Amino acid sequence: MGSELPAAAPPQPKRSTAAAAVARRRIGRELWQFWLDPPPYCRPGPSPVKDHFHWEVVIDGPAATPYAGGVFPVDVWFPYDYPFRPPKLFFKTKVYHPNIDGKGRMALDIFQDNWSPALTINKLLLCFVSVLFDPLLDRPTNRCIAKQYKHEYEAYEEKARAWTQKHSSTPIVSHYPPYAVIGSTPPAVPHFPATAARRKAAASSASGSVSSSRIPLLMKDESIWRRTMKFFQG
Amino acid sequence: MKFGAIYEEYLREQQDKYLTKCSHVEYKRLKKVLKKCRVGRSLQEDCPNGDQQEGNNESPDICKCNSCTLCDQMFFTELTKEASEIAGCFSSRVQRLLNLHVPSGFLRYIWRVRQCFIDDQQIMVQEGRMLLNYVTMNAIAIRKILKKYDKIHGSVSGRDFKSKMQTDHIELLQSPWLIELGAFHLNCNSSDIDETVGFLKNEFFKNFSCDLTEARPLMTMAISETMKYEYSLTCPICLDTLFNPYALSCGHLFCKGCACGAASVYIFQGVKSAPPEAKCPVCRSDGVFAHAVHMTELDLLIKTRSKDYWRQRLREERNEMVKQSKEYWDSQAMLSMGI
Repeated sequence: MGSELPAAAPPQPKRSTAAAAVARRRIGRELWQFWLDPPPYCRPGPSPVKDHFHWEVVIDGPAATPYAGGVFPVDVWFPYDYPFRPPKLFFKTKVYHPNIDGKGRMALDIFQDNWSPALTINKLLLCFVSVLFDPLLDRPTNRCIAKQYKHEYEAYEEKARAWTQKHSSTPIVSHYPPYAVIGSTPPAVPHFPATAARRKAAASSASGSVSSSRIPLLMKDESIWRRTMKFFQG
Repeated sequence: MKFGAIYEEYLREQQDKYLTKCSHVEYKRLKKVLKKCRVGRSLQEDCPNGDQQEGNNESPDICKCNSCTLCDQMFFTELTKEASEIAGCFSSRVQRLLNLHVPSGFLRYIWRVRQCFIDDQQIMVQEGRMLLNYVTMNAIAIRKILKKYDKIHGSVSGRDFKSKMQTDHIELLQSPWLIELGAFHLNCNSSDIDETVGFLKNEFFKNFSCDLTEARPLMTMAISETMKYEYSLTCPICLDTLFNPYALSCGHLFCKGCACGAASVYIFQGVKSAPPEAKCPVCRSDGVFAHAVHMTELDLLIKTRSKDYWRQRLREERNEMVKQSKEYWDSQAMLSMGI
């Protein structure tokens, strides 16, 4: 893979074997569900899942975004008292995005205060892809990138595309176990509203006074995925 | 036969016998209000402004059709009141019935002695069926009247009211007590009881079935050929079949261990000892743990239908409870010694 970040396992608290067994059973069910019906643009990682508490997932860059064509491996670490504590998800490669920090973490409130045991890894990955497509600019992790996204969208797009090309262009083949029932592959048509295309269309329809480098964000046009995020955040 | 006639006949036959003091939907009266509204609408469309004004003065009962204040007042306040009364009546009656079926403590011994002389099982099954009819009939009546409201007014207020009923936990067919009653029905059907007991002439309630062998365990209630309700028996936390299930006051079902874990309390302390700020893991409503209800009939159903799974879960929960109580008393001892 491109330039990978060190993915150290978060320290696990001492828990009873019974609690770990409950967590293992739940993770097993989620893993099966993930093989059966993965969220859009998500698929299993290249190596087989040996430890239930550590997975590898691959997110394919959504079409009509600067991340299109990119292959983003994600490390998923489950705590031993899962689902009562949230899992930790890290991007293993560098991603140029307002909500992703240098360590590859995406700071969403569903990983902190708004975590609910009823949330599954499929829902979390759906959030990841959603935010990858449509950044949450009200609480950015990387303020410089957020500022650039707001005011110099084309420069942001160019840099994000360059980073994707540099760090996340190595193809990854998913590993499915022989007994897994593989669900339908994600369709080629993007599941998400084409944010970039929408923004460009809005810019072209607007009067000539608006420069192409300073395209305003369409805050009124709230996408379905933003609404999904709001639902998850309670 | 129209639903109105079926409903009236049902009220005549059943209300006096079994469900005295129980509230019901005033279907006929609400329908009359809608009829007046329709007449008012046609008058407003036909008459010019002056005539319309006179018409309004003559009959203040006819609703002013653009705002439909009369309908809104009559309808939604009345329906909310009726639905909450029906829900309350239904839950209390079901509770009373199930306390007789699965008694606890000293009542159990009294019940066993009583069973030597009187067989109340058939009467209980009959009452269970009556309650099922009561709740389904009223739910359909509410559904029909809201549909009619939307049709006459060309609005979606009825649909909005339906969703409001769900958030207020007065949606009759989403009640956890209905699941309990269904479990009771299935538990009684599994024992040898005369099936002909308590069937109605115009019975809407046809079938209650439960499948725990599938990947998604479900309980299905078929009111008619077209109306089917499915109740998931999967815990949203452990993603497994419910074990020792509890219904929070928002109506969501969880295993006892899962609910305690979500509320950050020890299993032996129980679901009700959860702090008031603890939220439901599914809908995030707070203060829902205080009035949590143990679903005894559903637990009994799962216990009888999947014995091996139930035993395995029981073993696991006991181990976890022992471990937790040891941890708790260790911490208490350390606290008392000032460590």
